[in-house]
Amino acid sequence: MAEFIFTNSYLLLILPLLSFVIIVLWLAGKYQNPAELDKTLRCQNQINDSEETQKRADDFAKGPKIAGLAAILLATLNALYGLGLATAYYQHVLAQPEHYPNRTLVCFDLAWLNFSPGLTANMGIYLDPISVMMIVVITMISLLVNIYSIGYMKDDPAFDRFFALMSLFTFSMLGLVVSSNILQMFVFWELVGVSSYTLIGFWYEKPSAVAASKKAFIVTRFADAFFLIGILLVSFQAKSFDFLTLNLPETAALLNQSIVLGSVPVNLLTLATLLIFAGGWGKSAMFPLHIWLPDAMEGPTPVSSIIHSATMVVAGVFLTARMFPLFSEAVGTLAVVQFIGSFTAIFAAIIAITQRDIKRILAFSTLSQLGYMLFSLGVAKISLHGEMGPGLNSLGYSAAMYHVFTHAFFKCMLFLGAGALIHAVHSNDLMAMGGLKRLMPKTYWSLLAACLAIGGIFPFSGFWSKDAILLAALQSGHYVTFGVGLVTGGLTAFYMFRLFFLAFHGEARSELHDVHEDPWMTFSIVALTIPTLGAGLFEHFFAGEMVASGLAYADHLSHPLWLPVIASLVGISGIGLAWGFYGHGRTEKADEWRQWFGPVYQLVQNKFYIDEIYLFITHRIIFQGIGAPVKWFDRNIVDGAMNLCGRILQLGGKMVRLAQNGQLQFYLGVTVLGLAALLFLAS
Amino acid sequence: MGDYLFYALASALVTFSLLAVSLPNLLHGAISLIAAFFVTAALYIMLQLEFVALAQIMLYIGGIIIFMLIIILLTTGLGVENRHKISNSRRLAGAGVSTVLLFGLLYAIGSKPSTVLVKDKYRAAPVTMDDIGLRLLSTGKEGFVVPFEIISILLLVALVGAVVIARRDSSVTYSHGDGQKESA
Amino acid sequence: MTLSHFIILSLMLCAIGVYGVLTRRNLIGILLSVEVILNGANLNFAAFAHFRAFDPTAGAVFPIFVMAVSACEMAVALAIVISMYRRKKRLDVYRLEELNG
Repeated sequence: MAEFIFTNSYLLLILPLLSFVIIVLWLAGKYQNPAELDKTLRCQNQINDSEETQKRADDFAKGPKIAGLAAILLATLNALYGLGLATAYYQHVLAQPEHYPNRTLVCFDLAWLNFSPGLTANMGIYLDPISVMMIVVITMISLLVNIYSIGYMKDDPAFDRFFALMSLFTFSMLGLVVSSNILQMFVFWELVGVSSYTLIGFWYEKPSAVAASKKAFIVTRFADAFFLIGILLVSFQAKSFDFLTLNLPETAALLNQSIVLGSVPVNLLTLATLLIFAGGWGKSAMFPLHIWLPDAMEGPTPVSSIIHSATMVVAGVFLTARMFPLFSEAVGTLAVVQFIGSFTAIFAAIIAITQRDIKRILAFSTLSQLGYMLFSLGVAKISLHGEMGPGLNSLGYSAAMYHVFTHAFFKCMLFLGAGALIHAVHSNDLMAMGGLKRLMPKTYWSLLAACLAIGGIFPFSGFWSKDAILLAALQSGHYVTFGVGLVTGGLTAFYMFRLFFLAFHGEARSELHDVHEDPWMTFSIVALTIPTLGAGLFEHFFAGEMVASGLAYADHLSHPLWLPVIASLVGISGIGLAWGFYGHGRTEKADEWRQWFGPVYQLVQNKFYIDEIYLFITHRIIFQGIGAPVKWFDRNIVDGAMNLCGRILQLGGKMVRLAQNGQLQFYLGVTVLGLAALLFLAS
Repeated sequence: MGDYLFYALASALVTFSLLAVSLPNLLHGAISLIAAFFVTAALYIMLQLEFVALAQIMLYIGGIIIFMLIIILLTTGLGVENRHKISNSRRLAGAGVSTVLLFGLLYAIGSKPSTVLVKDKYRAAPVTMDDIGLRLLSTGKEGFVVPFEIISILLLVALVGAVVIARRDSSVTYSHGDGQKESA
Repeated sequence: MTLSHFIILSLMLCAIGVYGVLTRRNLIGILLSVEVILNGANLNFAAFAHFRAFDPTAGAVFPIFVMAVSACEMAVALAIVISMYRRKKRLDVYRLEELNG
């Protein structure tokens, strides 16, 4: 059985791809939106009777469901396969450490590109603790989000396109996490970017959605360019693309050399790992490349839920973790990772306090949590023996992965819940909600669990993973980072419960019509409560097994008892503060404080004007200062030269054309003149 | 005597030909062409080619020119078709080009005087109708029966072709005429 | 009355015909001018047959052939003129320039 699962592990990728292909080629367009169809057919005078229209409408009501159901069926199969793969991996690889010292199994390997005898790139399926964990997370969340989307998207004319793109995304993301070499990962990395782009711009009639999708694509592409350079640097030195080779200590030793770049001597290892991290920097939306993520909330909420919180944005964290043995040798890079992570964590949390758009709050919260994961990776290198050596304690590593796991579930659920609220209120604005507790009880209680989890309250899943991260920061001696993490935890609890109270408590602040809980949607939300509550059980499993190859087991050196107590107290005080301000769903008290803060509040609410700074840099400096002169040069000098050639030829053509005037007499006259000339010349 | 007659006929021929190509009224032009052909026939007689002269009169004047007159009358009504004047510059250009051609030809012929041109004393015996008829139908080495037959086929083909071309094309409807639409 | 006289005469006819072809605006006028050119050629044949040929009969046959061919040409050309006239309602060669480049 396990043998079968391993040898056919490519099915994991085939199933979502199949779903995409089936929907696109077979189901999509089969049942068109009757309104749209009517318009076209009426133009062609093909519809005369209302019976036909009714039939088409019925078809439509039935039809897209088929696409959704097909997607769900295949997603279910895929989730089952993912679980089977995880079980088989657990039983056969983890249980036999003597056979698999690195806990790594490349169970499918296909020669893909043969560059030269020394350099080949394979397509493979690479199973190790983190990729198996990601497989489970992605397939499960994909399934639940697909189910949720049946309810959420049921009135959308592009219902089937949505499911096709979701399947494409699932395929790409799974391909990314199981990549056995860095080139394959880059391919899927870009595929993920493309599917994200299409899904953010799903409602392409909205200019803001189009702008957001462009922004996301350009920002991440900007980062990916550096990633590609990093890939080339590393692969050139290591003569291989395989992660197994790249993660060997020999590769790090090979890279650990000084080169002179311009006139600045740099360490090649630091440079290469920084460049690779730059890819994750963009994908995980770390400061200052975070600007695309809040805007990406223009996409449908299920998309935000799966792509922009649970899976794709952790690709940066995943990449860092995947290459961690190499990163761990590059102290400078880890410092950068740690700094950027912690800064983004608190930066985003501060902004989230002031936002009014429910999805944007969650987006900034995602940024903040991604910051947690990254700084956890940044502090992961703790020497047990007080020196750099093979015996490293990678608690930060396992903690980061643990947080990826727990965060995926509760953040996905928060988004789905937010989607349910938006669906009910038809607005993203928090100030338009309120008093929904009575109307949406299931959502209320589920979201309460998620908010408690993200706030880090015992015994919800977030408590355990945050505790592990804080412990890692503490043990590694990075006290500033630890402090930032602690404070951010309080802020997180505060803004999440601000959202929670404002949405559910008090009185409704806008007129609500026909608020109900869609069964498809509620099912997913409630189902996600289970991992949110229960993920804490995996703490020891993660600490024990989630270890980068070559690094030692994580060891809770000393776990001071005051740490969880302090963390919980901070979280509870955040909740208490939120209760104090917004507990009854009112904002008067908060408004007073806002007056008091004045310009500081303005600064924060405008997200520290980062977008404006970008616009200034791009429009004023790059476009006008560099782009415009270059454009002038291109238009006038380069194009001018080309145009001149063209003009000369055109002029020649025009002159020749004059001869071809179609006038018989002109032709004859010229012929006669030519004959006369010949006569004079010849005799 | 012969020389004077030749000069008179030649100047008449040139004059009529010039009139034929330059008279604004086509009908007048065709009539002066008839005159020119008559003069040419006279020249043929001077060259002792009576049969050619007769053929000239019968074929050209009796056939082709009459045919042309009919067409002129059919398409332009009394030949006064020149609604658009021919510009003087065009006339000048045409005159220039044809003069250049004339002098080119003269120069070409005059610059290399061949023996043929210089030896000017030989005169052929008059060609009788018998000779021509026999030569045309002779199958011998010097007979012209093959070109003769080919010419007759050519005439037939031209006849059929003319009918086909001039026939009203049923696939094209014309916007003028009596307003009736043609149907196949 | 020598061969040279006839050659010059026929060359003049040819030049006059060319002038007509170049200046006439009406299609029928051009055909008329072509006849002038052919006439010059015929005259040339006849003159050479009379003054030079050892076999004058051949020289006499040639103008007859030319006449036959020109009759064919006329027939076809006039058919074209007719159909053109029917199509365009005018025979102005300035306007017949569909083949311009």
